[in-house]
Amino acid sequence: MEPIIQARGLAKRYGNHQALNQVSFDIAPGRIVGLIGPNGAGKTTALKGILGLAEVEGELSVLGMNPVKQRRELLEQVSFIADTAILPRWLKVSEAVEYAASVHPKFNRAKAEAFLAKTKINPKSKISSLSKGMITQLHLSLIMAIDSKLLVLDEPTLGLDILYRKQFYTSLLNDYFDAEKTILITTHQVEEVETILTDLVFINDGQLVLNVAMEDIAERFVEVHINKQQQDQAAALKPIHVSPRLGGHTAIFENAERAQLEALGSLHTPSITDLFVAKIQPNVAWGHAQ
Amino acid sequence: MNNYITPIKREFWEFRGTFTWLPVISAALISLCMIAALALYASGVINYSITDDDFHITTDSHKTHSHEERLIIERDALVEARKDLQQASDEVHQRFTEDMSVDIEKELDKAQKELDRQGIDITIKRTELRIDHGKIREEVGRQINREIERIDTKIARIDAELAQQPMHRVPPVAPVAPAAPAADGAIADAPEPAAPKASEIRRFPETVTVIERSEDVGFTDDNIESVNDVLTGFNALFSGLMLMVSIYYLLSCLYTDRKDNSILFWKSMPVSETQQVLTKLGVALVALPTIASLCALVVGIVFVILTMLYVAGYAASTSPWDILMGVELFSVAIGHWFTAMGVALWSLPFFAWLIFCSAAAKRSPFMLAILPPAVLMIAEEIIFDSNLLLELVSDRIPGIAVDDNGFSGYVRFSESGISPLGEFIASPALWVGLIVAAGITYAAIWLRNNRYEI
Repeated sequence: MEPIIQARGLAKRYGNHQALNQVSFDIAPGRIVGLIGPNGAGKTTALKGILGLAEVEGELSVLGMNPVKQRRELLEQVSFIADTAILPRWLKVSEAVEYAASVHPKFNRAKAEAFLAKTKINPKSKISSLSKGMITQLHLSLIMAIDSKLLVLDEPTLGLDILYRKQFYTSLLNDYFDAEKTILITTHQVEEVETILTDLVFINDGQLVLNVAMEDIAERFVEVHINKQQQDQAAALKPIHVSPRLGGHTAIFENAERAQLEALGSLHTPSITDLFVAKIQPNVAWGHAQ
Repeated sequence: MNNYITPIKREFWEFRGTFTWLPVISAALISLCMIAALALYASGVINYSITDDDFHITTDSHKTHSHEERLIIERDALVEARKDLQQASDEVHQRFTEDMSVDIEKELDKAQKELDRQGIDITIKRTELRIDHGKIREEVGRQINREIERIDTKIARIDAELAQQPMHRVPPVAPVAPAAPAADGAIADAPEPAAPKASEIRRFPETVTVIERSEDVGFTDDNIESVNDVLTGFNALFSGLMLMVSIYYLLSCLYTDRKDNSILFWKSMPVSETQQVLTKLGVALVALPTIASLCALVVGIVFVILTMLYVAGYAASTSPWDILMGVELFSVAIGHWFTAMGVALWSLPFFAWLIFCSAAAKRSPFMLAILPPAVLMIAEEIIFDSNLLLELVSDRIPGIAVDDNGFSGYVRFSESGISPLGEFIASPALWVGLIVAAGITYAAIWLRNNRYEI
């Protein structure tokens, strides 16, 4: 299937800072991709490029279009929440709905109103009088009512409490997502998107460090608990990351022979958080033990 | 269609305070003030009296003068006016004599002789314009006499009214016997007006405006003219108000959304920046002047209705119908609106510069709009000792004023001296300005597309 996003050699430099450095990836339709990286890794720059908000070097095609040159056409197919709680404060809820309904050909007004009816938001109130959680709900209601092919969410749950976060992802999956749609989420709160992602992209210092489908993670990465006695044996198998734990270490191996590892101890699939640390800040020194 | 209209509505949502409430509340306040003034007058708190066609402003209130006393005051004033007219009539007679021509001839002869004596070769020639002195004397005299006649009737009316007063008092001065206005020569026979006594205190009103109704032109009441002047004033007032709103709006419209980050929301909607910038310019240059004209029209309608009520209640000879026929409510409003459109075109570089500053400014669009041009102007002054830039710029900045003739307008625009429509459209200055404006607008759009994130 034709990829939704095709990026080849993306680069962007702000003064001395290389925000993106030769990043290439494809995103296929029907996926939920997590673009994950520490602050300043280049996530937002990549998203801005994809949304046509900023020009980036390299080849970039989104739904077959050039995001900067065909931004208006692109935005009929792509919706995004760049940052929550950025809705203009003077706008009324009903006006926000009316605006989207008039300018967006793919906006379904009834759907938006149905979403809003489930919340406590009064259509007559001004956004300045809503709480942060309500603004996010409103924004999400507007965006989910757009029948877009690609939804881009940049740190969508920043500053929200746990209840809203749960609700956010639940409604995203239940009310919006289907096989025709693609969602691209950036966040640095890995654990909360873990369960919904189909693909994982790690980015650090402007470079792509990992691009893997969730179902391949178990096959590709293995986590083993290692006793002190087995340290040398484990080190020989070249773990990508080692972290100390009670009574020994946890080592993460990439593409290692399972048979050899089984001799060391029981095998697990690493959590995405651990994998994130392993990829972003790898540590192969055996800490105090050595 | 909606995708063009709703972005315009959006501007009215964002600036509902200044676009809607400010003009509406101003219009309501002005209307209320006028209604209150009429109500106060009707209830006798303010005393502003009108007799027939004349407006007399009396500063005294009811408390100091009874109705009767006021009648006497007015009668005295009329007697004074009559004297003045009589004097004028005599002067007309004295001025236009055939002797003047003879005197001039003598003077010229003297001058010619003097020139000849000094050997200067100049021949004085006199071309005489034939003036029918008799005719002028007759016409002016006739009109003055008619006025005297009118005053006499008024005096008679006051006398009659005074006679009806319960506490009848004989007017202090016996009525001057009306001179019988007659044929041409009669003026000469009019009695010499008595010189006002030095001790006599002239009471207000000092002057009486006499309004002539000439039969051939129809209704040309000065009062109606001033009603039209007031209507023009309303237009100028609201245009000025909305012009300030436009300037404020253009300076902030592409700045506030960058400041509060909501630009990311607007950019998530498929509306191009070109459309947004042009929408905002259109709102400032077409929608706001239209609001100004509508408000001025509504206030004007209120004013005309109040004037009609006033005239119906307090004027004897002017009827509300005369007012209604005489006012130019709509033509004043439409004329002013078209002027506003002309100004929009003429001053487009100025307005485009404002919206550019709004798109470009990091901190203060206002400072960006003012400072760089000011620095350039001062530099030009110092280096080249010229003010070319200042002249170029100040010519394009719109301003509002009402001149002595009651023509309201945009000062700079009319000063540019190309107000006739044909000349205006054809003037190269206009087109150069439009090209400059297009360039600046393009720059603003480019900034919105490429550098909004600053």
